[in-house]
Amino acid sequence: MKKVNIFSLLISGLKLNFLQASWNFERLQNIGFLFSIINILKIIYKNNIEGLKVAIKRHIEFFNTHIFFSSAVLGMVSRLEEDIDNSDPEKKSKEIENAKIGVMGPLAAIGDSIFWSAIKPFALLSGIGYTYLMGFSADSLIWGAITSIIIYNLPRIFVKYYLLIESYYNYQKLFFLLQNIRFQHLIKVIKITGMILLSIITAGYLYKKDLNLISLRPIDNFLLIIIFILIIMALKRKTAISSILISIIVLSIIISYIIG
Amino acid sequence: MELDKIFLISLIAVILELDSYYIGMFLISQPIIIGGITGYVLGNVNAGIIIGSIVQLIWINNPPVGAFVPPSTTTISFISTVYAVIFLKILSNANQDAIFMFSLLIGIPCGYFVGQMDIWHRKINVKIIHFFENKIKQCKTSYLIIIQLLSIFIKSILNFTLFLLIIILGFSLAEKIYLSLPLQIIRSLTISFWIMPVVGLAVLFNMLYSKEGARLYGILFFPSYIFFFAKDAVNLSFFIILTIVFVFVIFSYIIFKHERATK
Repeated sequence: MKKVNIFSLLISGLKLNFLQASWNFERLQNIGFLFSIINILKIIYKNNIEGLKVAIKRHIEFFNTHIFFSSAVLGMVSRLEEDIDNSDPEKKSKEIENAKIGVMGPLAAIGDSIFWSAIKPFALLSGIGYTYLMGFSADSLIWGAITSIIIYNLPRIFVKYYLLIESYYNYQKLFFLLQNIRFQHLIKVIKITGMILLSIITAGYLYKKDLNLISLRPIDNFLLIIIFILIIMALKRKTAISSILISIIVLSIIISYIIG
Repeated sequence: MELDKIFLISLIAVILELDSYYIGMFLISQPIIIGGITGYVLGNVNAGIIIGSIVQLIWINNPPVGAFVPPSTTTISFISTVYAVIFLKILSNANQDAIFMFSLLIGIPCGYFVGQMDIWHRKINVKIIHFFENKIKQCKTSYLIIIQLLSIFIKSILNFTLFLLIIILGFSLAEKIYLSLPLQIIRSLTISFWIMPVVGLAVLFNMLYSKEGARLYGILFFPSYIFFFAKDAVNLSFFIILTIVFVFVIFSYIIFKHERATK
């Protein structure tokens, strides 16, 4: 019979929100992970204080993965802590550490590309798009912010808690599960949808904007489109955003002095 | 300067800043939210949203991957909004766009400095962990909570102090600098601010770039542009339906292509 129930898993899942609270350059998220898993370890090693000490030493070591996918590691490690026999602590430590290291890297890579490169920019773009198109008012800000928070947090909550429960109850299928999700397709679809949204937002912005340097709006917009293309070209050449901003300011000063 | 309001919004900014990396990452720390809240408390929501949206777009591609510490966009948005709103109150005849750009120029280095402070904070965390490590290994697990709280406390107190220093001490200096600027520089600030949203949109374009995406962007941009000018109001339902239809078509196309390739 399993010692860890779903309630304890969910508490650990909630504690994972503090995974990066004490992020450090030496062992990265180690304290955050130990803080999240400690209630489960206390249940597993209820009458075995020496076992608990060894487990704590195991999990105070290096840990780093994507914050939302860390639940998969937590679920899997909890199950391994429970399943592997305590008769040989050294062997147990080795097995758990190997499993942890084996999943941490791939999960971080998947999480970074899905959340940081696709879902987060898409969510922020949707929120900002709403605000740009509906006008800069408190109402549009509230709805824009709600839109982006929902678009971002729904997949986040689903991924986090689904992986937490699935990796605990079916940890042997974790790799199979991750391989079967079409991450590349998902990222591509999100990025293309984002691009479509962006084209509408760009057009809407040019229509709605109040600040026109040239009184004839089509020429003003045409100039902005050219600047837009130039900045994209600069970004494609890996120019840092700070360099682009400095160049814009310097050029603006020169233009301003030329105008007189 | 209303000190009670400055204290209140600095506190809100500190709490929201924690969401950007340390707690949860629920996206409530996005610059447009902190800009809007700051603007609302100080009496100019519009300024907060404009500045917040620009900051959000320009620094959208700054994920905290691994050991990389990005500049704090929450700070850039917060400081810039505070300066912009107060400047607009004091200098009522000043050019609004020039003030926005000038405030952004103050906020940007502050955001980068908070990023640097985060690096120092993470080095301090190493020392804190070393200090308590043996106790934790002896199963005194309450020290885990102490480390977490201590780290959050240090981050918060550093940010709060910095925010107050920048706003209270820096404002009179910034005001003097702005008032001494020649007309050409003020005009150049307006020109720069005119370009800022486009910089943000270009950053997003570059981030979302793919061949198919760029083609669709080109195809959709001109009809949308004409549509916006043809209609007097933005029709949101059009915008949503169009997006859903395209997502469906593209998704089906990719899946179809993939399945055909695997066969």
